[in-house]
Amino acid sequence: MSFDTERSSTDTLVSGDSSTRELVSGGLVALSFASFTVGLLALFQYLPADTPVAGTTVSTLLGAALTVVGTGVVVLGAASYGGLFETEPGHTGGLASAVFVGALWFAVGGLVGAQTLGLSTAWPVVALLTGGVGAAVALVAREDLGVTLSAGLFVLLSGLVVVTGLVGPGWRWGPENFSVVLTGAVGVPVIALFAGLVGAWTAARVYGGFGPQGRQTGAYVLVGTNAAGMLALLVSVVGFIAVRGFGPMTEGIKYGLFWGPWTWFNPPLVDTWVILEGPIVWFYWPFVMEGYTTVGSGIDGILPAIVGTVWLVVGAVALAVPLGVGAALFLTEYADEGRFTSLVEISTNGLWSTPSIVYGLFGLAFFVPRLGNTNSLLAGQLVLGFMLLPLVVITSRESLKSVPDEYRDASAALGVSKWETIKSVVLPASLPGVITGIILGIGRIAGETAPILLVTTSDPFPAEVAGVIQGGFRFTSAFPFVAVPDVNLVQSSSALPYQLFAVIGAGLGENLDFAWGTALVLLLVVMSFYAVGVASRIYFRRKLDQ
Amino acid sequence: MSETDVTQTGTDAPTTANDPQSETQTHTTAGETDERTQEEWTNFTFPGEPKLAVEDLDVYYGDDHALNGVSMDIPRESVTALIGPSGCGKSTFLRCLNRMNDRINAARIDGSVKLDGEEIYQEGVDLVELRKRVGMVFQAPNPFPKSIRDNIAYGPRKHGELNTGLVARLLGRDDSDEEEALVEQSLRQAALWDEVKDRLDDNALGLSGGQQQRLCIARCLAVGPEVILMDEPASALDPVATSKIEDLIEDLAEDYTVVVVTHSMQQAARISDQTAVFLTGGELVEYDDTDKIFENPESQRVEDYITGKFG
Repeated sequence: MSFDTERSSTDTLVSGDSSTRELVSGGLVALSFASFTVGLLALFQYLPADTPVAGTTVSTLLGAALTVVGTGVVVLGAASYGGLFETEPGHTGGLASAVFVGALWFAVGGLVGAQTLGLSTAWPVVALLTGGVGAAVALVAREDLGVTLSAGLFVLLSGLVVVTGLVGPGWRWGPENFSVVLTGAVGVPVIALFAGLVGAWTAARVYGGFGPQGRQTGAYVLVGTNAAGMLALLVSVVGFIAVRGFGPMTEGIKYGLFWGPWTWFNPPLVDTWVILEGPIVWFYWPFVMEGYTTVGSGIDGILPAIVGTVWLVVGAVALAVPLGVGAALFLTEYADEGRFTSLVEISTNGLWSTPSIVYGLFGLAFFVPRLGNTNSLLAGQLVLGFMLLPLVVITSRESLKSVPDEYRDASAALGVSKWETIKSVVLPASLPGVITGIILGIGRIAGETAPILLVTTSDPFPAEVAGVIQGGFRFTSAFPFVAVPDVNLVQSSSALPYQLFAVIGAGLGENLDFAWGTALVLLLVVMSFYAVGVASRIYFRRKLDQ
Repeated sequence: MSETDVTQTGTDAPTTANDPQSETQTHTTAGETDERTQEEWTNFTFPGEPKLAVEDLDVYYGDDHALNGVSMDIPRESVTALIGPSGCGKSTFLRCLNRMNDRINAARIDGSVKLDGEEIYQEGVDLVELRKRVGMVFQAPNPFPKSIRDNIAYGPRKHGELNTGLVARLLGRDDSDEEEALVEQSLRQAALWDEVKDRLDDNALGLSGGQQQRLCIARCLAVGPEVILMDEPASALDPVATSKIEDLIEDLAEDYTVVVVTHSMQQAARISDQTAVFLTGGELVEYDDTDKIFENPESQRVEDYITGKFG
C-alpha cells in the first residue's frame, strides 16, 4: 500500500450534493424500513397480509417492495464494482458480515431443502452448502460486490417468493413429523421482517459508500431498526390488550351532573348503586366498582380482585422494604467485605431466581396453618414480601455502594456517628436507587399467580370485597399468636392475575371479554404503582441535586 | 550558603554541635549522615506549649510501613505545612491527628499524639469530641447533597447543639435563631457569606469548586474546632479559587491551629509559618521555619527535593 499524498476527489472535507448513489440507496433503506413496519403490523393482525389494497393485497405489495430492494441493492453493488460510483470498499466484506449472511443462506437452504427433499438427512447438507456459498461470497469478493450480492440476492429471493404467491396469504405448510402448521398470515410477515431488516442494512452500507463509513451506517440502521422494532413490539402488546380490554372495562359507565343547588334537596333519579356521589357530579363505573354478580343481570365487576391485588402489593412492600433495606445497610455499612458478605450475596441472588411456585408451596405449608388455617391476604402478603425481599436487598446494596465515600468521610470528620451519618446522608443519597428496585419488584409480585393460588384465594369471582379494614386481627399470647375473627386480614381474597387465570381456565368462551377487561385493569394497576414509584424517585432525586 | 548561617537561622534553642551538619553539607550522597542528624533537623522548638505533640508515630497498612517513627511538635495558632513527594506519608500523618485512620481496617498505628498534652491514642477517647476539636478538610470538595444551610448546620445539629427538628419546633423549643447566627458566622469566617447569603436554601452541589471547598471549611468551623487539618485543600481548584483558599488559611491561623498538606512548594512557602518535609519511606526529614527550609535547608535530600532534583 502506498502512502501517496495526492488527493483524490473523495478526500474533500465537505461533500457536495447527495449523489445518485445516496439518493437511490436512501430510498431503498426507506422502502426496506416500510416493509419491516408493514410486516410488524401484519404479524399483529393490525393489517393482515391478505388485506386488499388498490386491486392487490398487502402480501403482493410487500413482495414487490422486497424485490425492488433486492434488485436495487445488487445493481448498486455491481455499479460500484464496475466503477460507476466513487466508493471506498474494503477488500472483503468482513468476517461478521460473512457469518451473518451465511446464517441467512443456511436458513434459506435448509427451508428449501426440507420442502423439496423432505426432513431427511439431505437438508442439512443443502443448508450447509448454501450457507457456505453465501458466506464465502461475502468473505472473498470485494466488499461492494460480495455483501450486496449475497445479502441482496437473499432479499430478492424473499421478495420473489412472496410476490409470486409461492408464500402467500393462502399458503399453508405442515411438514410431516411436525405438529405445527405455518400459515401465510404468519409466514409473509416474518419474511417481510427479516428481509426488510437485511435490505435496510445492505442498502445503508451502500449509502455510506462501503468501507468503515458504510459499516457505520449499516450498523446504525440495523441497531436503530432493531430498537424501533422492540419498541413497536412493546406498544403492540400493550395496544393488543388495550384494544380488546377497553370495551369490557368501560361497559356501563354512567355519569352526570346535578344542575344547581336546588337539586341538592331533590336529586334526579339515579340507580341505587351510584358509588361516587358529590354535590355536583356522580360517576358510576360498574366493572371496577362492583363485585361479581351472582344473578344473571347487571355487569360483572372485579372490585374484590382489584382490592386484593392492591392489598397484596402494599403488604408485600411494607414487609420487604424495611427488612431488605436494613439488611443491605448492615451488609454495606457495618459488615466487612469478606466471605460472609459474599455468601449472603450469593444466597440473595439465588433466592431472587427461585421459582414463585416454590415460595407458594412454602407459604401453604408454613403460613396457612399458622394463620387461621385458611387461605388469606396476610399469607399472600408474607409470601410475596419474601419473594420481593432479595431484590430489595440486591438493589439497595448496589445503591448504597454507589454513595461516594467522601460523604462518609466528611461526616466522620465532623465527629458524627456512623448511624447518624447513615440516617441523614447515606440513606437519602441512595433512596432513588432503592426505589428503582422496589418499582422493578412490584412489577413481578403484582402479576404473580402461582403463590396467590396456593395461599390467598378461594373463590375466584367474589361478589364482596374481602373485609380488610373493618375487622382487624388481634395478637394473642397463645400460639399462633394471631387471633382470627371472622372479617379481617386473615380472610381469603381474589386477585387480578388469579382471576384472569380462573376465567381462562374455566373456559368461559363468551366471557373472554371479561378476561381482557381484567388484563387491562391489571396493567393499569401495575402502571399506577409504577407511577407512584417513579414520581417519588423523581422527588428524592430532585431533593439531592435540585 | 555558609555554616554559620545554618546555625544562626536555626531553632530558638540550638542544642547541637555544628560538626555533623557541616559534614552533611559536603556530602552529596547523604544516606548515612542524614540518619545520624535527622533527629536534630526535625527538632524544631518554639516558645509556648505545642498544640499537638507527636512522638514516634508509626503507621502500617498491612505490610506497608507508611509512616516511620515521626516525632514533631505543632505550635498553636499558626500554619504548619507538610510537604513531600507522593506516597511519602504526609496525608497518613495528617489523618492520624484526628484518628481518621481508624476508619481504615488494615491500618495499625503505634506511637503517641497529644492534643494539649492529652493522649488521643488511649482507651476511652471520645472520637466525637476529638473530631469536634480537630476538624478536617479534604482534597476534593465534598459537600453533602443538601442545602448550604443544612451543610453548615449538619455537625452542630447532629451533636445536639442545635435543635431544629419538627418536634422541637412544635414544642416551641427550636434553635432556629441560633442556627441562623451560626450559619452566618461560619460562612463569614470562610469568606463565603457575601456570595451565598441570598441562596442559603439552594443545593450546595450547585456552587463552584472553590465555593464548595470554602463551604466545607465553613462546615468544619461550625463545629467549633481548635485544630483544622487540610489535606491538599486547593489541589482540585483553579488559581483564583486557590488564592482565595490561601488567603483564608492565613486568616484562620489567627484563631486556629492549621495543619496543611500540600503538593505545591510555592503554596507552602506562601502560607505557612513552619514546614515539615517528608520524604520517601514515610520519614520526617526536616522540620523548621518555612523561610529556613526554603532558603537554607540542612539536609541535602531536602535541598534536592526543593530545587527539583528529586521527587
